Amino acid sequence: MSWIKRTEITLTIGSFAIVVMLLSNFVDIPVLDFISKILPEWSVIIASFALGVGAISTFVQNTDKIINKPAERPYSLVLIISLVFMFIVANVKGFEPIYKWTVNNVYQALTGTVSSLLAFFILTAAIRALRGRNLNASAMLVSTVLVILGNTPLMAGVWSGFETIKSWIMQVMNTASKRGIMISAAVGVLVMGFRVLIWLERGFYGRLGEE
Amino acid sequence: MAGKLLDLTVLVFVFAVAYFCLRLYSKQKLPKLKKIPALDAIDEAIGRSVELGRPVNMVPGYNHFKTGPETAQQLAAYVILGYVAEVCGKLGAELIVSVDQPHLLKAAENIVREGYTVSGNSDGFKPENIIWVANTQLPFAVGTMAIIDGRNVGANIFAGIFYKESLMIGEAGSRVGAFQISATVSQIENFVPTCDYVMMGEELFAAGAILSKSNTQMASIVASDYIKLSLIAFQILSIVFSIAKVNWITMLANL
Repeated sequence: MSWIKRTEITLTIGSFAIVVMLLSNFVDIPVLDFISKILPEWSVIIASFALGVGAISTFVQNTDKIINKPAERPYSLVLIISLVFMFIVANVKGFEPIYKWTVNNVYQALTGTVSSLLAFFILTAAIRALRGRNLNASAMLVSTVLVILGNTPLMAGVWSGFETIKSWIMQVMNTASKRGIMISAAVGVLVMGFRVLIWLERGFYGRLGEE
Repeated sequence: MAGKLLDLTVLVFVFAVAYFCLRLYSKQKLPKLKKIPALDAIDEAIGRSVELGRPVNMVPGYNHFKTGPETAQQLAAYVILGYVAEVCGKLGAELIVSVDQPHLLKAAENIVREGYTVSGNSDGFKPENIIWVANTQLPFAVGTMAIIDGRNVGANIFAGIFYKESLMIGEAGSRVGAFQISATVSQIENFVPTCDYVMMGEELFAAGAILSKSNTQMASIVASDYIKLSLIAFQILSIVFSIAKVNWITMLANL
């Protein structure tokens, strides 16, 4: 295997980054501070360059769809035209008003439209989920109904207790379970970090990295 | 290092317990661990897709350049991706991966290629199925929904960090009748109505260890359980000292 592709090099870089970031948090050494500030900046720079890779990949895949998949041709055509158009107006001097108009009146409008779909998706998900099939599902159904009633101003006028029950469910039950999940997840993050540090966890380098 | 001694102590304690468990359980039998049904269901989901002649779609989270604990979730998601790729290779399933960040496109491609290679089905790998959808939230959601709907996927596997797009993607999968499994710390409430199996919180990080089937890795799950027991003991002590009006937590935090 070429030396540059050896898993040990990638793992060493990963472990080095973990050690530097950990130590910089506890020890005041200027070199460590400098490295710990620069590493996240490098990752952003690499990610920005990778946007070019992503754009080329998108261009190639959709061009292939235009040529070989008639059913998807119109959508891929719109995507390619939009990609080229936005690349030009964003990078060529003098096209700033067009760029701003497109972002404010096309992109933002489309984003708002898609966001509004969430309301319908919540409704369909709730219809599917809120069925009293067993004890757990029934408990979820009852608590959901109570929270909905507590959030409705009309029902607060009928009985003020709905608001109190809703607050108790959200602030006590909901917060407690979320905190429990977050604490156990934090422990999981630490233990996984330890596995990465000592080269035990290699799954994200690919299955060959585990050999 | 003012105010950080408690943080350092906790970190050293966690690493020490993890190391101790790794050494102990490399030599002796592991205690019996609770099964995670969602992990066993991955094979079932992929097998079902093969029977139906439909592809499998995996979404390894939406992270959008964040750092910190979110990155750990993303790493864990890619560990699961490697396993899913291997199983897809073994069973002959077509795997589509919807990626949110372009710099992860090549990483995902590599992981999936290696998964198929390890399973002995390197011809089954299709690089055009590793798709960078978008690196902004709603375009990512819409693009992934289009993939799920257009390709009529038989199974969806969601792992990593998600936000409100999780509900939209989950609903799209439910509409096409896909078998859905999720593994996440956040947005569990969005996946519960739409997924057949949900891995919550720490199960995402434990998945990598369990899927490796290695005793040493699974010893780290035992370690995290011991750490959680210690945290419970610490909290009980805190309650007792709070009742006795001894403010030791603030004293420790200020060290």
